[in-house]
Amino acid sequence: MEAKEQLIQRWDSFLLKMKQRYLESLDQAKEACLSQLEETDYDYYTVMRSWGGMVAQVQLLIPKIDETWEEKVEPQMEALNSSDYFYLDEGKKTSELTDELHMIMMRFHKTLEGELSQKYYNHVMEVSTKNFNCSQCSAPITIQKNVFRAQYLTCQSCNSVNTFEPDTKFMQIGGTIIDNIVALKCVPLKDEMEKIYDEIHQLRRENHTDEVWAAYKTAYFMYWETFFKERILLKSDTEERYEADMERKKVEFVEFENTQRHNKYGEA
Amino acid sequence: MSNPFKKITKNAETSKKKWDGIRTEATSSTKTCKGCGAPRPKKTNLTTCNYCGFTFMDIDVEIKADED
Repeated sequence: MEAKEQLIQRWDSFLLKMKQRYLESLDQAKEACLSQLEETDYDYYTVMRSWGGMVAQVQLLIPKIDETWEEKVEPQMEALNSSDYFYLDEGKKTSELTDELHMIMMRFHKTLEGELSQKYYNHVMEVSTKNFNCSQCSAPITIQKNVFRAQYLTCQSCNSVNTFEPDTKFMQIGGTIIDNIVALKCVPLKDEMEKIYDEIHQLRRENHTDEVWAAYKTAYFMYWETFFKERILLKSDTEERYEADMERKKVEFVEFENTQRHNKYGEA
Repeated sequence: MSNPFKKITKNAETSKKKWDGIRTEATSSTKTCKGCGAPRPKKTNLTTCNYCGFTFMDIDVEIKADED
């Protein structure tokens, strides 16, 4: 085999190994996070701090690709003095893989947040919402499982109003946990929305027609409408915010279209 | 093979801040009127005693039970 082919093959093999190692590291990180969630008795925020450390460690692999190219591979390829300058194409593989790994990380992060949140939610719902009785007549009272604050609950037997004060873990569900679960559930719609935008992004601005933007607009509002409605199912008091949330998304869409399509900044 | 991220999880666990005010147990209770001893009945304004008018909460807002 010629020296050129050998070098390309070794370079490709190195890139493949880096990607495999990156993916293996993410799998190990996920396993460590899921175990830690149980080991810490579902301390979600400690697990997310661990995840931050793991991300920093895994991301250290990315600069190694560039370093290896610049310090070892590129000099060897250039030394061949090939007339087709093949090393220029080989160099592009560095940024292609780097971009791909960053995209993998972004997606992995959202998925992991969603999966950890779902595990947390399932556990806390099971342990935090059972066996409460009216302090007047001892009849069982039912906790509302989609309200994550203190609740005034009526005893169905004696009509007294009980004050239910949840534990901290139950209240934390109402923070980011619900949003993460809903975001994971809505991933297919988000993918669709981003796919359409990527297609627009590839077009020259003069080809940004009403049709392509209408398709993006439809996917955009489909995503956010579904997101907010799914969130209401899990957290009932977000219903009061629904109209305001949608209005905010409308404004954001117009601003985005203005900047991306019409080159107009600061106009709603 | 042990997980290479064990050290990170251990560090996060040992260095975590101890927060005040963490409620480890949920509770339920009935507030009874200091004036007449009655609990607050459903479908009433929870800021005042429906029987004797005693003020539980001195606020200008009507509060109802979450489900009556």
